[in-house]
Amino acid sequence: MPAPCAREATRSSALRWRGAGEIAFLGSLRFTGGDDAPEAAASDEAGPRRLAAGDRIDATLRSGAGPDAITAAEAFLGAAGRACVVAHGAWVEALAPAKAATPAEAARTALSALAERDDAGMIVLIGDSAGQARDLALEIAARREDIFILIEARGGDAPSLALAGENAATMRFPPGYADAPRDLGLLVASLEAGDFSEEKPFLERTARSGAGADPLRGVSKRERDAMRLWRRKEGLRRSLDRGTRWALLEANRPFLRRRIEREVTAFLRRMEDLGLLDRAAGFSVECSRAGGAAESGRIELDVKARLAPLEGRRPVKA
Amino acid sequence: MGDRPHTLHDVSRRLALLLEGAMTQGLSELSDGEGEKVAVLLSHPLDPFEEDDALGKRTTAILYPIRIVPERGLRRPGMSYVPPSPGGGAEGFRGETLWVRMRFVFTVAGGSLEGQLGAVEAALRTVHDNPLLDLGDGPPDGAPGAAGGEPRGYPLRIVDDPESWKDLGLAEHRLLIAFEVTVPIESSRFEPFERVTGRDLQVELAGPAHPPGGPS
Repeated sequence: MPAPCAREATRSSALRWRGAGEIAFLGSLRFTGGDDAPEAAASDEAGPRRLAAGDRIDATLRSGAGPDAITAAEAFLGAAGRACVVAHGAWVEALAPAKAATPAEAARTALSALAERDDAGMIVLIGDSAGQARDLALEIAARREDIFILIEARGGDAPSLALAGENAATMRFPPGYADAPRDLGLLVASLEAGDFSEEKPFLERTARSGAGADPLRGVSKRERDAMRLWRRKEGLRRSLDRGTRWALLEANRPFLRRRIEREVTAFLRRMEDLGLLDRAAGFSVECSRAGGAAESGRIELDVKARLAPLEGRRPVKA
Repeated sequence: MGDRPHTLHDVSRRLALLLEGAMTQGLSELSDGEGEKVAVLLSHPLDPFEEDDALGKRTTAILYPIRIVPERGLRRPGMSYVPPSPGGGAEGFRGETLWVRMRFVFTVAGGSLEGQLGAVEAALRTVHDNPLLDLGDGPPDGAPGAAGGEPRGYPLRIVDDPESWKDLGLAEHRLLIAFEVTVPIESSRFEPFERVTGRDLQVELAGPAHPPGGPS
C-alpha cells in the first residue's frame, strides 16, 4: 500500500505545502463611533472576521464591513473560495480608536494590521479603502515580497488589470461600474482555484459562477498566469519558512543543519513528484551557519529550484 | 570547586586543619588548661618518624593520602547539560565529573602515650562528628548536600585499613587510622551550546522554462 504510507509521511512532517497565505478583503469601513464603539472582547472579534465556505455573513459584519467587501467575499466564497478574512469597523476601532476618527486613517490602520498578520498573503483593497490606502499598499508591496496587493481603481472604458511589479496589481473598472467588488472576488477565487494543492496536485478544483478556469473580463492569460506563478513561488517560500521554524532555539550544530537539508530535500523531491517543480532543472539545498561574529546563532537556508510550467500538469484519474 | 586543579590538595589541607583544630582543643581539655597546638603534617609518615627524636615531647600528627580510587557508584560516562548561569556563564555540555574516593591514613608521633592516644581519639571523634567535609566554597551542582539549606560538603568517613602500615613501607607496625573522603574532579571538557537565534531563508525560484502566457 504505497500511497497511504506516503500520505502518512506527508502529514507527520513539519514541511508541507502551506499555500500563498490568507486572502483578506479591505473595503469601506463602517463605525459605530464615539463611546458606543463595541469592544473586541470575543476572540473572533479581536481580529478581522474569518469566513469559510458555508459561513453566513451576519448583521454585525454587514454593518461594519460595508457592502463592497461583503459582496467581494460573497463572490469569492460562492466561486468555491476556501476561506478569507474581511476587515470590519469594530476591529479597526479596537485597534486604534483615535486613528479611526478619519476614514483614511482607519483604512491605513486596517491595512497595516492586515499586513502584520502572520499568515497574510493577499490583500484586496476595494471601494473607499482602495483610494485611501493606495500609497501605503504600494509601499507595503515594495517592502514585503510575501504579500500580494490587489487594488481597485476607476478609469478607462472596460475592466483591465495592470501588474505593478511581481506582487502588486491594479484592477481598473470604468466609472459607475457596479460589479467591481464581485469581479474582484471572482478574480481572487479563480487565482485560488488555480493554486497548487498537495492533496490534489493535478486536479483543478471546479469553481462555480464562472470563476476558475475561465479568465475574467479584463484579465489576460499572461497577467493571470503571472499572479498564479507568484502564488506558487510564495507558497513554496512560505512552506519552507513555516516548515523550518522548529529549528529556532535548537542547537546550532552540523547535525541540525544536515537534518534541515534532508527534510527540505525530501519536501522538494515531493514537490517535483507532484509537478510543482521542474524535475529536469533539479534543485539545490544548502543550510549553513551564517558568517560573521555578529551573525552568531543564525543559519542560512539557500534553496534554488525551477517551477514547472503551469501547462505541464498531468491530469490524474480520480 | 570550579575548574581549580587543586581539589585534592584543598581536601587534604581542609581535613588537616579540621583535625588540627579538634586535637588542639581536645588536648587542652585533657591537660585542663591551655594546651599546645598539635600540628598535622601532610607528609609520608616515614619522614617525621626518621626524626622521631627531634619531635621529642611534642605530639605531632601525620596525615597522608595513601590511595585514590574512582567511585564506581558515581561513575557517569558522557557529557551533561550545563544551563546558562545568571552571571553570564555559557550554556553547553560538560564532561561528567569524576568522583574519587581519597583515603588518608592518620598517625601520631612524639609526646606522651596519653597525648598520642588522646590525639587519635580526638581525630576519630572529629571525623565521626563531621560526616561531611566542608571546603567552604560549596560543592558543585549534584554533589551531596548541594540543595539550599542542607549541610554541604563531601562525605567523610572512618574506614578500616589494618594493612596500611605495610603499604606505607614502615618497618614495624604503628597505630594508624584511616579516613575516606569522596571528592569530585570536574572535567575540563566543555562544548559551548550555541542555539539557532534566527534564519535567513533565500529561495531562488526560477520561473518555468516556458514563460507564462507564451506559446505552449
